[in-house]
Amino acid sequence: MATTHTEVYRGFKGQLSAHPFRWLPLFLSEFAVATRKKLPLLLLYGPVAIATIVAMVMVYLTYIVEGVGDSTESIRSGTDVASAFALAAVQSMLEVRVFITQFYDRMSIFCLLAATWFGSGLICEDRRVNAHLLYFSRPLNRLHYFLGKFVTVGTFAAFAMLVPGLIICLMAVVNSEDYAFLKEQGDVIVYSTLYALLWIVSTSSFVLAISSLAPKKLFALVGVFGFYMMSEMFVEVAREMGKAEFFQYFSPGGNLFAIADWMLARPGAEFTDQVMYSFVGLGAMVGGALFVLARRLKRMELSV
Amino acid sequence: MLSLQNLEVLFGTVRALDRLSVEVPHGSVGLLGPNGAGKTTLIKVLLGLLAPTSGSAQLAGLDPRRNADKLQLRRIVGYMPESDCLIPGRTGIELVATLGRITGLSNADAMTRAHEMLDYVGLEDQRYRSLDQYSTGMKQRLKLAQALVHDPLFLLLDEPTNGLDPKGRRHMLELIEDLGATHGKNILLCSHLLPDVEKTCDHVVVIQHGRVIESGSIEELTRAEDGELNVEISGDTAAFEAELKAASLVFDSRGGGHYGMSLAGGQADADSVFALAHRSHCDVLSVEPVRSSLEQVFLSVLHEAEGEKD
Repeated sequence: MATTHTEVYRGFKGQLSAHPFRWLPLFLSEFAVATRKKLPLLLLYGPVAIATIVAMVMVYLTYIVEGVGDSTESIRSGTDVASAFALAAVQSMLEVRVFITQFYDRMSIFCLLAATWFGSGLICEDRRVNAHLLYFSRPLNRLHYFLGKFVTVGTFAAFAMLVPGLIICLMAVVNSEDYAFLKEQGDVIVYSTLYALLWIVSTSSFVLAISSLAPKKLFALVGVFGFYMMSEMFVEVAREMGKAEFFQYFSPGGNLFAIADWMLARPGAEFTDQVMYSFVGLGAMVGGALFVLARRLKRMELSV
Repeated sequence: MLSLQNLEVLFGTVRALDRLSVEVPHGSVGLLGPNGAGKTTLIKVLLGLLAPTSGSAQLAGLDPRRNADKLQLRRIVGYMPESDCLIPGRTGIELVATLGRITGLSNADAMTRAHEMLDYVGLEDQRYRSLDQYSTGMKQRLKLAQALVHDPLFLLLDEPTNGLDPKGRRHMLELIEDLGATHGKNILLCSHLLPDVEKTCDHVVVIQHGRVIESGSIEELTRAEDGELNVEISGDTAAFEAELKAASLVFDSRGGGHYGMSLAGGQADADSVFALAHRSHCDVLSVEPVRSSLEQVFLSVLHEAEGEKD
């Protein structure tokens, strides 16, 4: 009998559930641990929060101040009052539309920074301390493990790009007359959301793939930035050598910005061959990252 | 509990498990072997963490190679790995509760069970401390707590007393003994420390170079050799020794009235010891059959296995 401890062992009388969201506790745990350190949160999301607030104010002012100014100008130049206000509203919405697309474009760097900081240690640290033994000795398969990690890094990336973007869109919608922005410029919300998701999915995949290859977080951090910088340098060198047409699709950032030119510059943007190749290039890179992840996770589970 | 048939695991050209076959009954079982014998490899195969090259393994009738069985198996097994495995930045309670949730406990149950298990292993005061600040002994106890959080039927314990001081080791062994003897857990204790296995297990499997070289109950393996006795007497030991010589008995005087004897006639000769003591006016304080220690058995089977290999 155990004598040196005061508590007795109690059996569990309930049932273990077999719910399909086994990745959820892993995600919640990783998220809670990552948000415990306040300085990275402040440094990464402070500028995002400031930019979002400034953007909200600017959207508001575009509707209120510029709208009034434009309509006054139109009335002075002889347009009737109703038409002047309608024209001003359309111009304001177009300005807001451009503003939103630019906002998403600028926020992409924070998406990359947040995903890299919070995601680069997620797999390599598990491997370094053998924590995956604890996870994989439970009814958690590789897909659950991947989802737990992917949703974690994706959430941090989303808070840097998608969430602020959606807040700005919401601001644009509620400030427009009868939610006219949603009815007339609603496509920009859809396309900018898709664009943000492209950034989130691709960046999260690259970060996790590099994390699965690195022995520790520091190396993974360097690896992620190295990957983005090297790919840009590679494209630049190719451009200098006059072979930019083909090799430009080897840069994830370049592909994303090419896609942005098509997605966010609507209406009137054409789906050119360059955009298609950018999709193919980005898809191939994300596919490659997921393939690496699948191989590494299999190794982690099956031959530890 | 455990059935292995021609189980083979190859790491390149290294044969970690070599056509290993054994049937292990329910209860507390010690998996003994020198470092590199294949103990941890076997545990990983049982959990589905390592795919065998050939052969089959079944724990509680479940085959870890089949995906559905593997997940079911992991619900009823608690695993305490040999390495630290603990992610810095979390507290003890967070780690145990999270692993409980992953296993299928509800949030409330996971938290309750995590507290209970940390109390049970004696970490009640350290539950909110970060894992970075845990000592080796605390980490070992925390690993046991996480293995127990979902109340598994089977416990796979890989070197649970590694790195523990004598007090911590005694505590850990008491916990394991309590779980097996009082709470009916089926335990596979993987260790190269023979006293740990001897204290906590009923059955032992000895492996070397990935092969089973001995298997059986500890009672059987350490049973007394016929005719080997330890005798303690008080009184005129010189007269007693003279009587022993006169009776042509082989004995070994260890001083202080303690003798080791080899009696060819077994029980009949054992009775004669009393008669000889009586004749020499000595009192027999104790007569005990000599049992082999598990260490002797272990070294003996290892030696035999090495001999066969050579």
